[in-house]
Amino acid sequence: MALDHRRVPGPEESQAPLLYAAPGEAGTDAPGREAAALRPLLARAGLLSQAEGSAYVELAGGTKVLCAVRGPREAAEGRGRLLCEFRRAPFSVRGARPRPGPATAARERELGLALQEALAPAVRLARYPRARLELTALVLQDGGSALAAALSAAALALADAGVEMFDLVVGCGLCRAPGPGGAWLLQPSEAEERAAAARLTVALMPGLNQVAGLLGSGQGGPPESWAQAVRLGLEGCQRLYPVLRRSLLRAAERRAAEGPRAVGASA
Amino acid sequence: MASVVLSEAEKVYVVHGVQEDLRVDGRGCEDYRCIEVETDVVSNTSGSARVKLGHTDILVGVKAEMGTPKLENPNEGYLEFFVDCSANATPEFEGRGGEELATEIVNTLYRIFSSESTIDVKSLCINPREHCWVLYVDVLLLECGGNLFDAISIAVKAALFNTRIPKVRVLEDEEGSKEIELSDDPYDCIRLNVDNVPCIITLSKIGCRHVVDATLQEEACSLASLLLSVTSRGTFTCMKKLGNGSLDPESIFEMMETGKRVGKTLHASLQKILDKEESLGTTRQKVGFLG
Amino acid sequence: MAGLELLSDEGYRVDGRRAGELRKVRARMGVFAQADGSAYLEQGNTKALAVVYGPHEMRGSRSKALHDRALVNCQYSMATFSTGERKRRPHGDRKSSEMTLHLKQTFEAAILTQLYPRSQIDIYVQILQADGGNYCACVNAATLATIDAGIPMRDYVCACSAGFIEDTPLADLNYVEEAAGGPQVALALLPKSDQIALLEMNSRLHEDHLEQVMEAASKACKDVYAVLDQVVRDHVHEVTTLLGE
Repeated sequence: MALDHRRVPGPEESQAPLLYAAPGEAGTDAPGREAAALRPLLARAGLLSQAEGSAYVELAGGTKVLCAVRGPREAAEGRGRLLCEFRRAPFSVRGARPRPGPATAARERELGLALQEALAPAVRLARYPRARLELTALVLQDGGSALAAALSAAALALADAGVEMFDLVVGCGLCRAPGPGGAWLLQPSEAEERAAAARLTVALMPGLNQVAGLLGSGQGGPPESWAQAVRLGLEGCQRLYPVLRRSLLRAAERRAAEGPRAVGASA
Repeated sequence: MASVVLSEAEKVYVVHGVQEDLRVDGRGCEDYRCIEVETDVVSNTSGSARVKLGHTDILVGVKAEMGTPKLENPNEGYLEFFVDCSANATPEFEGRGGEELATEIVNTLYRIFSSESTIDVKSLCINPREHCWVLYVDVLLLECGGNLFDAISIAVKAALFNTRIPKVRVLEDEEGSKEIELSDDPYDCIRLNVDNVPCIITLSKIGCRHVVDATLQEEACSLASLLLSVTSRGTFTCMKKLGNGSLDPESIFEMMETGKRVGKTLHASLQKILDKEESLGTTRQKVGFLG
Repeated sequence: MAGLELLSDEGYRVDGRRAGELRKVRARMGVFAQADGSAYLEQGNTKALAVVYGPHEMRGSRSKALHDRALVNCQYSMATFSTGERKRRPHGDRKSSEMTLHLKQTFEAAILTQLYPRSQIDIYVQILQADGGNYCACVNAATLATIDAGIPMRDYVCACSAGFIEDTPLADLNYVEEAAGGPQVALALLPKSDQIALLEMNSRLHEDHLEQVMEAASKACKDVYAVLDQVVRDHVHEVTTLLGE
């Protein structure tokens, strides 16, 4: 077969460089981390002018999520629907840009569904017959606990859009450190999450004390360990709640200072 | 998903029944419907199983094909899941109608099999970096009558138990080129160890109690359910809230206790059935869909 | 056709049948409870499952409704594990779409559609294991399912394939015989009136032989009819016994 001389032929087989890394080299996690420590959280609601509601949540250590809500829009028929989309920006993860494909799309759809199922109990959808609310969460940078941050941001964005809700939803991520007897860590960083034996995301409606969402998997652990993780996560959510509430209040104040929204302004 | 429409009165009837630990079909809250399991129903697969749980009917076929290992795990084989929500189950699934549900099920299956202890994928490797077995686990949904996830996980476990992968040898000649030789004896094959394969237990919250193995009617009355994947030792590998409702924290802990208890019993009885079928060997009368 | 002898000198085929002999046909009606009609049929190692919903109101767009008769809607799919090599998609590829169209045409010819104007009848067939004669197994299973659903038909539709190898017409080809690439006829027949619902032929066959092959195929269809009729009678008998009549 004639060779194509315009190309530099690469090696016939390629291997992942990680195989040659000495064992233990990758595990450079921060020593002496307190299990129940939360990462500082920055939340800001109402920062996009094009969407009806929006919110931005950032966790110290590099998780950045932007969330926008559009609607309520008229839908063809049926009950009110909440449509959620979870997206990762192509530049959000470390290393090579993830190749878009059916596998990536399926994974994003799973998280979108998790988002929708966790927000549905909080939103009074019965008040929006024949309408749909569209929510998009965009992960700008994934530094661990991305789904949890997206959950908090989504609830803020919905509240910012003036959608009737029973309560806010607060998300909190957890992971279990590898090895036997590994402890559960709150709001893990990306490195911790990658090395973890099990991961869990908890969503809570703090005012009503109802669990809105749970999604977790990993190495088998006894039910007691998972129960402890849920408890720890719920506690974390309660601690995050004041921060989110304050950001919502601040957005309302800012809007009040700007004066009433121009009626009939371009959407 | 296929769903039924219930009137308010019917819902009240179901909820009140559950409160008294008596369900519409006479079961208690922690009872499963009768489960029929039959393995080796499709002869051109490496392993197959059909599970009938009430009106839910699942057929799973496992095909082993040779492929190349993934770059990040050069000495492991892998599993691929595919779910076909066939229009047989409900006309809504015609064309691409079933894809949404199929993706949800596939994602859940990947999630419960994500832990490396579930299946010994290293035994699926033929020679590192070059050849491995890829197990295509294809789930075919023939009828849905509630509690799909549990039935699918049981069928997948039974089909993996039934899977026989031919033994191959790698021959290397002087020039270093490798050749793969299939064993002559068709009975000379690898079996998978399925002791650590979990089963899904879905607990549906109805009123202030929870039930296992909900029928379609009961699913219509339940706002939220908790999906747990439980191994035979009673450990959890996945948990997930399903549905558009919320759960009280205390009830989650109760559901986890129930899940562990029910899961252990389910695994024990499933293993018993599988071992019994195995011991009958070729003398077993195959029933399939004709029974 | 090197190496493999499809018809021995003694007149036996690869699986030990005679030229005009069918594979073993086993069937059951009423497999599923939720569908209006269902049936399962095995023809040798080919296994097909058929489900019928309807007649019911039009689903989806009403513009497709026919004002003087019912719309017959079919879907043919093959389980991904049904073939020797794994299939990537159960339906939607060109071959399945063609098969869907054939089924639709066959059943439009057989069902008394004018009795149900502006409604729809869904026929879904699924091949669980493929070993030649997929179309025929599907038609036979769908006939049983339609009868199970209580939808009036002109007659049973019985289908069978036939081939022509070494100057002999062979009935009901299996996978090996199909793969050999000889001429192949698929015939769907309404046996009582000897009317043809669908006829398809692949490959090349001399005109002089056509009559023989058609003869063999229609003979096979009538044999299939005898089996299907027995299945239906047994089923009805069973059901009436259960009802206590």
